[in-house]
Amino acid sequence: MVGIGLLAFVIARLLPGDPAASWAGPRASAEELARVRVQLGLDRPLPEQAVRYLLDLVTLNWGISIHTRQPVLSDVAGRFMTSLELVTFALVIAGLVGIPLGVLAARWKGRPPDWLAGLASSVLVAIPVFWMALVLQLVVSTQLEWLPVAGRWDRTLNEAAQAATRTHMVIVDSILAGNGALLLSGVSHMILPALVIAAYPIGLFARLTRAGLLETMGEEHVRMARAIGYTERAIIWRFALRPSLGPVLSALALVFGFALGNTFLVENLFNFQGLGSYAVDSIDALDAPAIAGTTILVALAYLVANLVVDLVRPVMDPRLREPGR
Amino acid sequence: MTAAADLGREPGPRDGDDGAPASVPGSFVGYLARRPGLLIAATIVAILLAGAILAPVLAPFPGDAGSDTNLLATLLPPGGAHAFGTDIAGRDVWSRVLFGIRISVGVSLVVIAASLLIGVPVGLIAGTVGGKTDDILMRIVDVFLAFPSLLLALAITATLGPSLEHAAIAIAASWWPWYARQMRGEAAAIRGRAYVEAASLLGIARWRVALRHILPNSIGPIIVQASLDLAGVILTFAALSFLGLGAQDPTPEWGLMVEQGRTLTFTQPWVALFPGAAIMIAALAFTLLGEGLRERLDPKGQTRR
Repeated sequence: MVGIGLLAFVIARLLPGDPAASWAGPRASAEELARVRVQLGLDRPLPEQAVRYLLDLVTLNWGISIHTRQPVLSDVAGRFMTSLELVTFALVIAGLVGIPLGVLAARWKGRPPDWLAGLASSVLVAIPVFWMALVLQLVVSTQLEWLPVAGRWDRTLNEAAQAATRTHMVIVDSILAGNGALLLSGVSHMILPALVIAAYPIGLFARLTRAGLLETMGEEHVRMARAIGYTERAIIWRFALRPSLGPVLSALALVFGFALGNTFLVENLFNFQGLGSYAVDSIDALDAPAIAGTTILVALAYLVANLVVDLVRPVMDPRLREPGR
Repeated sequence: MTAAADLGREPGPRDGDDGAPASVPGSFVGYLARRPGLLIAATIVAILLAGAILAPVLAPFPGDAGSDTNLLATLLPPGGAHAFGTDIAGRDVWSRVLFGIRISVGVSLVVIAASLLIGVPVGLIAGTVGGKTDDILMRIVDVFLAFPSLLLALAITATLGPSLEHAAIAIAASWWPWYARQMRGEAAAIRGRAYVEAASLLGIARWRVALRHILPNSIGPIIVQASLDLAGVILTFAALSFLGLGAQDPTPEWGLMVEQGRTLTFTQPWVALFPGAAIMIAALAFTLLGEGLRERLDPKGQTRR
């Protein structure tokens, strides 16, 4: 944890340009600059600044963003919730598409469905997300006019959305507010960006499921079920699939971090006001506190995701429970 | 991404159904012929390499990959003299995509090599020496691995300032810890083997044992992993350039070219579509090639960590 904080400090302090100058603005006088420098603690020796920075992090004083002039923590917290909803939506899609794709491939191993599923998952892993976003916008939104190009909801719902904002997650907020129109609009605006973010996880989940399932299918309990006379379909879905999903679950934290990273590439294309677009705007503005805050928040989220996965795995797979519990 | 790609690894040897026992030595061509995916991938990689070398000959407008502009021929649709159309500065997109191989694939190769040059020695030292050195080195590695790799590269590039070189440094900085960790695992596993202990007992210096016995016996899986990671590095490099943090105009880098065509997507889609497709094809070819290599060189499917 201290390491993460220190790395963030290095990033924040090494950013090109003088933090005091970017804070005070281009027309600040020399005295004003000096005053800002003292105010921000930039006149102290670097080790002291580092310690102060770490203390501030722990006490949730993450500084003021230079480009929004709001406290970084309140900025990133809301934006993070928005991106978290998007990423969760994407991972649900990935599970619903990727796992059946892997089952299909394993069921028809070495036959055309397996090759096609393999090719599809390789393409999804290799596709540049920002390019996929443009292609989908071009084809699905502009040519077919099936889904909206960008934004988080229809413009006419702006006021309703403002009023409903509680968690910064539009699906949750619209349900809490009982606003069906907003819910529908929010979901339809989320499908395209979520599909783009889901591309890589779909490909990965399909491969992991296929590999896991093929391994499980050779095990005793599956052969037992086959001997009893269950159909192949029942064997896969009732006995073999669940123990095969361990690798998918283990990969979940990593995929979550990866998907969160992809919001940086995708959100601005869809005019989706989440953590990713905030981070990119902060980088454009050389906004050191905001960049550091985003970096730390993402690292924290990644850490928590890893912990949660470690806790959930034994619940899902009894073999991982410690003996004697 | 590195580890995620890795998790897709088959749990054991491929069953014989695809008809290629890994033990057949020598006949690499015959091996390829039995795997259409690998054959296609190898062909694409060969074409990419040829395209990179022959770009000055093949490109109809080689100057367009540099600082040439042609303001009388901006945004021409594909066809005629410009197979992929022209961009907003009137440059031939096909020529730029072709020269882009040198940048996008070439830089990615350099980044992978640099990551190996840092990660392998660090892992080797940690795995061979063990003890406190191991603890400290791995603690440092863990700090780097605490961030999703794209975000770490992004933060470092933002810190150093946008340029092709800085993007390359940033990606290498976020990639080497994976190799350090993998190398350490391999080295620690080999260290206990009889022949290594025998060499130590004979009084051979520790660094000599590390270089002569541990390194050659553990580098195989790491090279395979590196070839798989090439696709990830190509994508990350393109992503940084797309965000304006990597290559700068007029460098014909694919991610940057997509960015330049971004606002034209709905009117002149060819400007962004062709370079983006090039990224995907290159990444796909290297992924499939790496998987084929892994099956052939590492049929046991040794786990990475």
